[in-house]
Amino acid sequence: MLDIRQVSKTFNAATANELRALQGVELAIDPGSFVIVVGTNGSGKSTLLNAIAGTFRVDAGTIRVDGVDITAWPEHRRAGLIGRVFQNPFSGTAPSMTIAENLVLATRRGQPRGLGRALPARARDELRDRVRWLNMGLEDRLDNPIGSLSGGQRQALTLLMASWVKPKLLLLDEHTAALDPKSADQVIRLSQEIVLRDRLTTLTVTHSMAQATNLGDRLVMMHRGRVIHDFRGAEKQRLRPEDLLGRFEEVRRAEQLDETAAEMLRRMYA
Amino acid sequence: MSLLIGAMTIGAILSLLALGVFVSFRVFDFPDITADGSITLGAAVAATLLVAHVHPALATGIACVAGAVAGATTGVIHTRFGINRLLSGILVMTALYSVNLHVMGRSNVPLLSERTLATMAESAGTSLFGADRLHVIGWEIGTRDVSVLILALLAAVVAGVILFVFFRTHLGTAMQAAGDNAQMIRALGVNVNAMIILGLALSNGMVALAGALLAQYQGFADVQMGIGMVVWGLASVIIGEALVGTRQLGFIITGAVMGSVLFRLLVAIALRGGLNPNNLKLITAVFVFVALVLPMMVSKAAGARRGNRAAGRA
Repeated sequence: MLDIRQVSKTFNAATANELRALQGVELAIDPGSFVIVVGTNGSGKSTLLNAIAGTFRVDAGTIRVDGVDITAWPEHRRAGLIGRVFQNPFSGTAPSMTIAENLVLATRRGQPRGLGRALPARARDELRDRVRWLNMGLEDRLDNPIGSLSGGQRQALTLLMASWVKPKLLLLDEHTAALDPKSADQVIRLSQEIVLRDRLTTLTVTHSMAQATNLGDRLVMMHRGRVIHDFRGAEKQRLRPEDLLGRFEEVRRAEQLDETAAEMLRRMYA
Repeated sequence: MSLLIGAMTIGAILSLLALGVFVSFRVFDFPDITADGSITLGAAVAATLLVAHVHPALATGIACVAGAVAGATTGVIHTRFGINRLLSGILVMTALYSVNLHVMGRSNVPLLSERTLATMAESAGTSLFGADRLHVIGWEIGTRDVSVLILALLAAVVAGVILFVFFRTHLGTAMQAAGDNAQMIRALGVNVNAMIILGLALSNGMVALAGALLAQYQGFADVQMGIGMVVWGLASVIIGEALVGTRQLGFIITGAVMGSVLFRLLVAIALRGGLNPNNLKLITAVFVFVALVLPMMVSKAAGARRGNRAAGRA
């Protein structure tokens, strides 16, 4: 479903702030699989998701979704194939517009928008039904501006919107990191239900070891712009938070070794 | 009395300007100065075509399209070439000054004996009411004045309704969202740049329509007539928001029309009361400044008071 080949991206190239965020990422994902992406800070997890979503153009490599090469597509065109939930709960909804208006915008994801009425009475019924499914009591507040809701409620609605028109690929970018623990649990539960119910091919970035081990059927670990570990099937199911922490520790030690070696070399040749 | 009717007529005509400014400033948060040039463009195109004996309705329509093209140009300069929003508008406004001079061929085109929408409304009104003077609740007023006022109000109401209905369509809600949260609507597959260009075209089309009607009402187009118009429009929108609030789109649109008419009435009364016309733009600018700063200062003061109370509890 998703096929990423040799994707590289360098920010601020040829300046003091040069950042080689992605360095030849290779990743192929089967239809219907639920993939968790973990990694150290600055490892390129979120950059990878943004590269897929089209927030920027990659320097090299190709990205295919469902066999279609979307590498040169602008962000809004890719949105026809991809649903997204952002880390910031305020990013995924238009605050001054009502819940109903926001939802109806999502019902047209990737479709042309004409001069038809956005919210006829029968459309409202469908909106209400789907919002009721969230179990947050929002179905009675369809005409309230979304800006008046809590972060957790907004993130739940964003999730509903991202999956309203079934996407080829769902990208969840640390979408519970900014929420309180209770809301985070709720949103994770909803995410899992939606992904399993609609068999969505999903890529989730997370910092939570518990989420990383409980969710999904495959886990990839990134470091310095590359995929360094890939756990699938039974191996993924056996994975416990301690195992992951152990892997991170390994990465950290290897890093330290590199640094001391570099330091030694500097002293020898200075 | 005819002074007040005149003020209300200009207010109704300029409510189209206010609606255009509402689209750029409020929906997109885009400080679009193009309007200063496109209102003159509308007047210039309409007046030139009327002198060439084009049907007034057609001339007004073409003026509207010309304004839309000017707005789209600003949008393209901003989105395509990454020029700052304010500067994009300033560039097009400046260029339009020369364009307007070229369109008119001189700095002022009078409409002395031309058939205009205003004269058509006057003759329609005279034949409808059958008299030159009308008595309305004890006032004696000219049929012609009333007829033009009715036409202007009709234009304002129709434009307001069209705008309201438009923002209730799929395209219109997408446009609002593009102004409210560009990241979100891009992730839902909408080309935000196209929305900005379309929105500015819509905005400046309405502004040019105001210019075309204004030229026909006052009987001339002048290359200087656009100076400060954006601020006029903004003042009307702000008055409207103060009158009816910003809770709902319908209120804001109605408010902008009411604000424009009220503002013109206030200006007429102030001028009648001896206000030096030279100070008009200064006073308008100060008014808009105060209207923009006041809510901020009030909420800051309220916030400080809340802060003090919270500190007192702790």
